[in-house]
Amino acid sequence: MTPMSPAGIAGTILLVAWGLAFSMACHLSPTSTATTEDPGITALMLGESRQALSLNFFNEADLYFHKGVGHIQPRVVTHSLFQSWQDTLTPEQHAHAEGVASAEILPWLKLAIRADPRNVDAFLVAAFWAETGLLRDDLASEILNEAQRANPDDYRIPLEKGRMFIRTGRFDKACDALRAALQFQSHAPVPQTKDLQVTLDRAEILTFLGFLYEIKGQRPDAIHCFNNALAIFPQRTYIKERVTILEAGQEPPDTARVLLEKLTRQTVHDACHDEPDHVDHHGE
Amino acid sequence: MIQIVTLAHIVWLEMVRRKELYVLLLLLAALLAGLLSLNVFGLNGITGYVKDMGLLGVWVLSWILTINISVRQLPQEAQRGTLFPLLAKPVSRLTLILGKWLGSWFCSSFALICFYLTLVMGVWLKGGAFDAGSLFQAVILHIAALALICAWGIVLSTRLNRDAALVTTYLTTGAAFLLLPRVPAMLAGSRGLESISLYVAYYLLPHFEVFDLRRRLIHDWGRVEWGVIGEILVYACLMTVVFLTLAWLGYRKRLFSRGAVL
Repeated sequence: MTPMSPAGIAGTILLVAWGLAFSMACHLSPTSTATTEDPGITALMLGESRQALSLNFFNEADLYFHKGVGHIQPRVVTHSLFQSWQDTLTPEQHAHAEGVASAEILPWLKLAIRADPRNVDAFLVAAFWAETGLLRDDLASEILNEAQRANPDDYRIPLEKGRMFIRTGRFDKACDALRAALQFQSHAPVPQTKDLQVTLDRAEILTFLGFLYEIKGQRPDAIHCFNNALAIFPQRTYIKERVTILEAGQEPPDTARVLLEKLTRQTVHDACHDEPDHVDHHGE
Repeated sequence: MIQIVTLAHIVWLEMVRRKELYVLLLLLAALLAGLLSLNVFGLNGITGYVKDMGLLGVWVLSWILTINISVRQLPQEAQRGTLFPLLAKPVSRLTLILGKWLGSWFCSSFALICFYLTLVMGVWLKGGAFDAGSLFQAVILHIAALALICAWGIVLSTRLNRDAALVTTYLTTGAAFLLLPRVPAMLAGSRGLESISLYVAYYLLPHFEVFDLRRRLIHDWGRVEWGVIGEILVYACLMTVVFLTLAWLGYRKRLFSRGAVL
């Protein structure tokens, strides 16, 4: 048997190494549980500019929510024919898409998600519309699951799931989701710009959990959650009063169920109540 | 008049020969196919985004085609040397300009109707439809806008070579379309010279945004009063006449040297 040449040996090693790498890749890809960091075709083509594109689609969804009427901006009245034509062609009435019409918003949110799967707001708004606009809990749940797969550490997704479970009366599931949200929030690094929102959300999670424990009859846990919420916002008197009542072993005047329903009920109109140009004449 | 129509017919034949229309139609069809294949969370009957992006596609493609057709007409005749026998026919320079404008406008309008038909078919395949009256108004105003763009392209091509005229027409029409609707808002925060220059631009440049009924079509706001449509059409006619007059003034005394162009 003639010995192999150095080139032959190198070739064989290369072939074996390639085979090994290929086999490992085939095995690891489907079994990996780590966060998917595959940038996808959009990221490859657009790089970081995909975030701007995603935001643009997100704003387009907002435009569709207002039936194509943009936000009112301060402007000079030129008394020109052009402005008069423009005003006739583009009405400025504040209107909202409702019911089935709200489905028209979803493609833009889908495109926003496609452009940037890390745009959690797009997922949350899409789920909100699926649930409150189309009355499709199943679809909202699907969207939130997809959001969780793309952003496994983001606390806002289990928080939204928790809200949804409360609205549909699935309190045990809501409790699990909110506890997960609390844990994610404690461990995940949070961008500085969102600090206030994170604090607000934490107080909301704790308050929801307090009410949920009340419903389950776990008063000490409920008091603990309310006290934690009070540590964040001590001025919330209604929680303070509730803690006093619960500690005294009395029954609060409003049941936890009713208060939870009030807190989580949000209509499509509430979604833009805080906007500066909001005027109260919904629909046509 | 016969000379104008004959010149316009030559522009038409040239467009058919060049096959630009087919390429742009294929592009639009590809865009629509992509939009139609988008799975929106498994929901059916959502057509707003197809209308929206499709109409944007129609506007962009018709803009590209119109400028390309109109801007090349006069420089091309001069470059090929066919301008000399044409002017010796005798065809007056005004007739030449009117013939080229009419041909460009007719070709781009024909292409536009093809684009709209493709879009209507795409929306129909997705299960939606346009309001027929609103669509008719939108097409009429769009065609009027193309008349203006053609005239402006021809104005610039009387004094610039093809490439320079092409770029300048793209820039000026694009800026007018995007910038002018925002001028009233920009004026709110401007003072002095900035404010004056904004006012000058506002009243001097053509207002293409008044020809754009896309948002009305997409969000089903209904038809516009015909009186307003009529006023906008009169504005389009006036602006076109002004531009064609400018083109004639720029072209009537222009000297051509056979050696320089051949």
